[in-house]
Amino acid sequence: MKDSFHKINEHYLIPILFVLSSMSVIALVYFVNECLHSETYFKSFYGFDATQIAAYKTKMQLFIAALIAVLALKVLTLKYKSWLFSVAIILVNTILLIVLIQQA
Amino acid sequence: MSQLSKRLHKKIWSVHNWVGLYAGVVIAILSLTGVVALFKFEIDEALNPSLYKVPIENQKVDLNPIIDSLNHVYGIENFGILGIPQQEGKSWTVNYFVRKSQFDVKDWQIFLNPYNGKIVGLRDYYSSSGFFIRNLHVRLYEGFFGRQIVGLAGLALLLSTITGFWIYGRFMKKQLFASIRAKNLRVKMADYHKLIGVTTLVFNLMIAITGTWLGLQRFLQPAIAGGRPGLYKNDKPPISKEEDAAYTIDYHKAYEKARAIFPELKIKSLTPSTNGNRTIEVRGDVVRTAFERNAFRLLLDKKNLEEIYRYDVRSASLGDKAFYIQESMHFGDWGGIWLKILYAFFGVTSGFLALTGFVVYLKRTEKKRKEHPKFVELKPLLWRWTIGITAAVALLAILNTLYGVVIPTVIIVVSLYSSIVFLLLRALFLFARRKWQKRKMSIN
Repeated sequence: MKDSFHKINEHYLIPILFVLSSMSVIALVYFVNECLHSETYFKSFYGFDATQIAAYKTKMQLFIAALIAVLALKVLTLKYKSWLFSVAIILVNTILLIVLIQQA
Repeated sequence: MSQLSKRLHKKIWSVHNWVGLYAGVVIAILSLTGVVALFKFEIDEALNPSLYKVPIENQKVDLNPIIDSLNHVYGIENFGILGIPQQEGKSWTVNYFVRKSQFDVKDWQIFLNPYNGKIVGLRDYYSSSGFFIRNLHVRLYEGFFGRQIVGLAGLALLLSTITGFWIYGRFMKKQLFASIRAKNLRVKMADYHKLIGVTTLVFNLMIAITGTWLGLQRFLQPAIAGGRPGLYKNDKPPISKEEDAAYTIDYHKAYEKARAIFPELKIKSLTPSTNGNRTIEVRGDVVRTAFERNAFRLLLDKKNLEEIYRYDVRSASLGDKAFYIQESMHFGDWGGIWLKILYAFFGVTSGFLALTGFVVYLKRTEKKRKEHPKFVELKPLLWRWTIGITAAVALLAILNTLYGVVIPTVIIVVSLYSSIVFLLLRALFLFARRKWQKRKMSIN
């Protein structure tokens, strides 16, 4: 039983983690890019005032932190190769990506 | 595994194998040209700073008289668009599409300094690096069915990605994910092929789907979406075409009016109608949306600059949104330059998959191929292809820069179709000779 879970983890769950990672990296780069815009850019293109800029940047930083955390957890998953951990991270990553797409 | 699923697996593997083999080279070319096409605006601007950049001054001048005089020279009926920059210190552009004959087609692009009204430069857009990069990726310089050929390559990538994922599990039975075995070149390449293929699965699926749609749009669009969504239609134009073309327009006023009534719209271009509709089409983007460039539209009445029609993709149907998101998703044009760089990194992978697949095939069939008198080793074979494709692209770039779009297109069309005709005739001749020899042998 343990062996078959291990096999499922190796052959299916870890590849799914990789697939989700590529999507997470795309999202991460997008949010970092959003966070790095200059104040002039926010004012002229987004029409934000100082408070809105601060709130928007905080939101972006939160997204970045969440994505980095998930990616870091994936590294641990790959290191310890726990199928339970893989399932949990796949779920968290999928939910996170859905939430981020809606929020962005 | 049952007998049926074994047979199915074998068939799917066979599809993956043959699709990769026949479309692999085109996919590899499209992968590399696509990576360059991601940055076509940035490259064009970097190569032509004298056209795009102007020194910032305190006041701007009225460009209307200059545009009017340009209309006299190039003809108002040829007016394409008035391009408006998004930053200070950038020139405005006016495009005129002049088609004198099938072999004399120009898209004149005139760059204007908004601070002093002087013409900064003039070029045929079809000779520009931006056009070359796009045309190479989108049409492969084939004038008739280039876009569809690229669309079919997109379909091949889609088929290859799906079939590859289908057979992936079986190939991984005796192997851990991400392990690269250094047994020999074939095994090593096969392991890289699997690892990269699975990691970039979603990205490649997205590129394949959007690429297929964009390439085969001419056929798919009428069947699925009807016409292009959001276009303004008026069956009863209020004035004649001549009256419409002769209408005097204050572009600055139209720009300010559009900004006032649609403040979120970052205006990129203005286009006056010449079909009797008496409109000025204002196109642009709304920030923090991922739709393709200039998807948002506002139509003003030339007479009083009142709003006639507005197309806001944000409030359009899901089908419209899907339609307008494809190009930006395909070209990574929705999240800034760093996202484009990441797209470039992922974009190379489809070419890498084609190449590794090709190497695996050649190594797998090497023994059999060695019996053939024209056998070529892997390394020189890959060099031949690389040098040949690079030389062809370089030649196209030179011809395009010197003579515009027509000559390189004619060369590609003539060489492509004459090669196809030659190969067909050769195959026919060989077939006939075989038949004749067989008949001769049976008579003897």
